This record gives sequence, structure tokens and C-alpha cells, in this order.
Amino acid sequence: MTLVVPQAGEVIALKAFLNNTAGQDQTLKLFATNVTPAETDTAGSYTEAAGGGYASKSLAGASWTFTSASPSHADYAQQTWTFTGALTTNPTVYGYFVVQATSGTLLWAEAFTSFTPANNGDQILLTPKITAD
Amino acid sequence: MWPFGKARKHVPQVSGPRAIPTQVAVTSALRRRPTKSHPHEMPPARGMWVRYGDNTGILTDIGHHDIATVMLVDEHGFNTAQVSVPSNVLRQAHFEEIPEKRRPHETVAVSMGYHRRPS
Repeated sequence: MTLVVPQAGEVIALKAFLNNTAGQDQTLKLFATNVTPAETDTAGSYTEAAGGGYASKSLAGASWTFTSASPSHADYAQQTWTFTGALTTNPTVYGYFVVQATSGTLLWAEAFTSFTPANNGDQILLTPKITAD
Repeated sequence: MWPFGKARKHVPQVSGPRAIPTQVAVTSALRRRPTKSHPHEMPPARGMWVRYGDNTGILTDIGHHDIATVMLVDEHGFNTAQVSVPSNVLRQAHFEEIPEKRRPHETVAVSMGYHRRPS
């Protein structure tokens, strides 16, 4: 699917790249509305999943692995959400978004094939990755 | 159904290429309007708000032969249908054409070429 880094995320990347403002750890969240990420989005553009045993995931900057390639990319260990049943607000997960852990500013978002947790033990397994292209 | 159903595992494929390949974007008929910082038209980018006929959508890809994939949205910004159309039938959306719930502050919008519709 399509990973989109919105304008706010681009500015954060530039500031960290140029040693203007240090980056932050990240929080990985699932969104539960049928939207396609847009370049103008903010964290408020997404409705986070709720209920059913869902909780956001913390991503530590030091735990990313970086690969020099063409294009270069950063990878994180696979994250697993194990649900206890159905979500409460909106039933279906349509993608994920990543925000800065402290500021809450949106870094990037990506839609994926939708999934509706329903059974105790249902899982979403997601391997965060971002490519510098 | 829960709690009686069998647990399922969903492993979505994510982190596709972020950018439209340069050689595709620069030759596309779809352009971004000039802005204060970029006084010339710019190539399109994924996530750009576009207009297709009377519909607003979000550009998700441009392939060979300049065929664009667009997710059309409703007045709330929710997905309605995906279409693949020649880029020359698309244009960048105007500020008012972005669904209100997903519309950025006008200053931000203008910095990305989403000017108000000419009166």
C-alpha cells in the first residue's frame, strides 16, 4: 500500500537531519476508519482503534536497524497485537500511523488490507519499515 | 464469531515505496501548483489531493503510461472507490475541495499548492 509522510513529518525529518531539533521515540497506532493517508494529514486525521485488548506500541529509536542500500531503509522488529475480541468504537482496522512519542506529531501513515478483529486471539502482525526514497 | 471462532492472524504487507518514481512523476501530466517556495509547477506526490470530474480523491500511485490510481473520498474524507485514470484528466484540488474534516489550515494548504478556487 502507500506510505505517506505528511508535511509535518517531513519537517521533523529535516530538522533532525540538520541537527536543529532532535528526534523522538515513536508510538505506533492502528487506525479504524476507512481513510487513505494524505499529505496534509495530522495525527487528528485518524481515529485510533479502541477496545478489544488494543493498545498502541512504543518504538524506541535505538531499536531500529538501518540498512545502507539504494534506497536505504530502516526496519523495526515485528509488532504483534493480540485481540481479546471485537473493537468497540469502529470494528475494522484499515492501517497504521506513527507519531512522535512526546509531541504526538504525525510522522507517517499507511493503509493496509483491512482486518476486523472478532475472536479472542485474533492477531495483527506488522513489521515497521521506512524507506528513504 | 467471538468468543467461539478460531483465532486468525493478519499479516498486512506494508511499507511500499514512498515516492512515485522520479522518471514517472516528472513526465506526468498531473502537476502541483506553484507556491511561494517553489514558483514553478512541481511533479505530483503520493497523498496529494486531486480532483477527478466532480469528485475529490487522494493520489495513491502513478504507473507507466501516466495512469494514476486515485482513492475517491466522500464529503467526510472517507474512501468510496478506487479509480485508475489517465493523469491528464486530474488536477490538484483547490482548498475548498478538500473535505472539511481533513482540510488543513489554509496557510499550510497554500504552502502545498492548495489555493482557493478562483472566483
